[in-house]
Amino acid sequence: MPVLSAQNLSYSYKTKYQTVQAVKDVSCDLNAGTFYALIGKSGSGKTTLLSLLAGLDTPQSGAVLVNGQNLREMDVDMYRRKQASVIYQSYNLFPLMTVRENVMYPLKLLRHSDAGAKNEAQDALKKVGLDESYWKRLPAMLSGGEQQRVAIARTLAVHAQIILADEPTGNLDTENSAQIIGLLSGLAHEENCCVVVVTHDSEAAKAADIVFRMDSGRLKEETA
Amino acid sequence: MIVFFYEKTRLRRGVWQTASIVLLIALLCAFFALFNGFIRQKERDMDETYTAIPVTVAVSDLTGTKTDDLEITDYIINYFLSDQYVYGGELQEKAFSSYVKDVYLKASVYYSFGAGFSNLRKLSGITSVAAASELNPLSGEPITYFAGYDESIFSSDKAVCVVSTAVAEELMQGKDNNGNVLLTVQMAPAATGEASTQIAFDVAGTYLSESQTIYCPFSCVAAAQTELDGKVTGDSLSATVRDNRKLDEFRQILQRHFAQVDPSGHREEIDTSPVLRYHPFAITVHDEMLRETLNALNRNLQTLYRLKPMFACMEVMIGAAAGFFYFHIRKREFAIARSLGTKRLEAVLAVFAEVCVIFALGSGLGAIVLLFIREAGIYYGMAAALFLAANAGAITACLMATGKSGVRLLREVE
Repeated sequence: MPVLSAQNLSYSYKTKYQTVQAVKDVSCDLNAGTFYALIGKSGSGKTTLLSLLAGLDTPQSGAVLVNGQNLREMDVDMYRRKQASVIYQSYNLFPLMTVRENVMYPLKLLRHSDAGAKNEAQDALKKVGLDESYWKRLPAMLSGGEQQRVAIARTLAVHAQIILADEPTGNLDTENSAQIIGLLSGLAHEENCCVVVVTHDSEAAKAADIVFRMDSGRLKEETA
Repeated sequence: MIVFFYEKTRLRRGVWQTASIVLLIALLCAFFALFNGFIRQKERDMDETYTAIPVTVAVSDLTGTKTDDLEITDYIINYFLSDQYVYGGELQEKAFSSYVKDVYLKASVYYSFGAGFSNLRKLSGITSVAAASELNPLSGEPITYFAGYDESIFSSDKAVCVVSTAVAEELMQGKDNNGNVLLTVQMAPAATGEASTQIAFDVAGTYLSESQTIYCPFSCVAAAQTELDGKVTGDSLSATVRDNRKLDEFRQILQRHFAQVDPSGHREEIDTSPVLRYHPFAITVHDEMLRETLNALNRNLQTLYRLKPMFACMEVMIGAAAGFFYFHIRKREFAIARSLGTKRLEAVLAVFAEVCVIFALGSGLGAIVLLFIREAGIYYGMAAALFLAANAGAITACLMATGKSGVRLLREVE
């Protein structure tokens, strides 16, 4: 059974001048242990589709199934806490929390003790290559690549089954991009996660097991 | 739990932001308390004005031009001196005299000291030298008291007197063996046919004047008049109002017994009017200074009362705006928290907790500032309104940031 399915998803939104049909009747099955790339032109609906899969938006028609269960019938907050994790291009770390506290935050949401959350956060940070010297730094003291690693560590710490990344390498140089893509690929293949990456980066698309192309709100599978 | 985790890091590291809003809350609390204290001070001033400014009432003729030599009848005098009086055939519960204190009375007889009677030789009995100057010629004059005497002699019933320097020498030479001055007194200056009596006075002091009037306690003249005429007739009468707050009440009672002063009053009209004849005297309430002061204070107070709700509204709006913008600038943080699975209620609780801490610190700081200012009037209702407004603003910002449009912000690349 696919870990995440989209069934005939449609979503539109209104701007000042028009109604934009961002996602049109999209269906797909996404499995654990697979690294997906979602490519397409700007405004093709990639990010909107990712938001629908993350439960950050609600489709006007169709359904998102998580392990066969309709997301509408689930507690979306708990879904985001335990099962799905979103990584953004602009990292989105809490600016006044240290690196370690940022990773601890989702664990505290899951009611881990301080000590337990701290240990798990530290393990996750080590896995993304951030040693002890980084743990007490604030995000502003880190480079873009390092901040994105913290965001990935935050995902790793909660052992999310589904990782949805919205242009995670968009702000990074080639070297850092390759490292981040390597980490995400590792999460799919070693941690058995379902990783979906929205990207314009051809290298990221090359690393994917399956590539989807969005075109004017419609989804089409391409050969990786 | 997550609320505590988030707020612990937030308050610890966002010190300057927190300090700035704490300071703003402290200023708002302190400002309103100071403003309120200012109003209370003005109210106290108003209260003190009632006691600090004396109001006198003075009996005059109906035109208000004559306040001395009025021949005030004894029942009028009794209004001011007796605990009870009869009006309309009934004993009045609230005695006329309960509204006044320090009744200043003057009554006179004519004296002779060897050289016969004259219009100029008056023996005036007064209750105090503190009476208004138009009623008491001694007021303001420097009196030299002899050893063992002071101005309290006028409130006593001793036969003592104060004489002018013009007649002092003559009187001193004519002292009897006991050192007293023996005066023959009668009701009218004309000598023929008048009953007379003698009073032996001890001279208590002198005043600098060419006048031949001798002043003694009112009780001495009252006793002499009673002996000679069977009643007391006053020259002038004034009194101080005991409680100025009851002035209007007192004025109503005065209107039953005295006519209104009418400077244009015509004697013939007064004589032919049954109403005015029934009221042979007018009374003037000297409350000009009190009214002017109270009016000025009242105008100030009314302005302050009008400003108070405006300031309150302004503070509430500032509090709400401060609460809103303090959290609105952190909308990305709330969106991040929401995207990680934080419930909106948890975000709202975190905001509420932070506002509580900020408000506790702010109002505490404001209270410390006010400790050094005496005239502060802490107004808890305003503090509560400010607290609610700050929370309303803060929670609105939080709800906006954690809504779907708020979370969409995370997708925008800065």
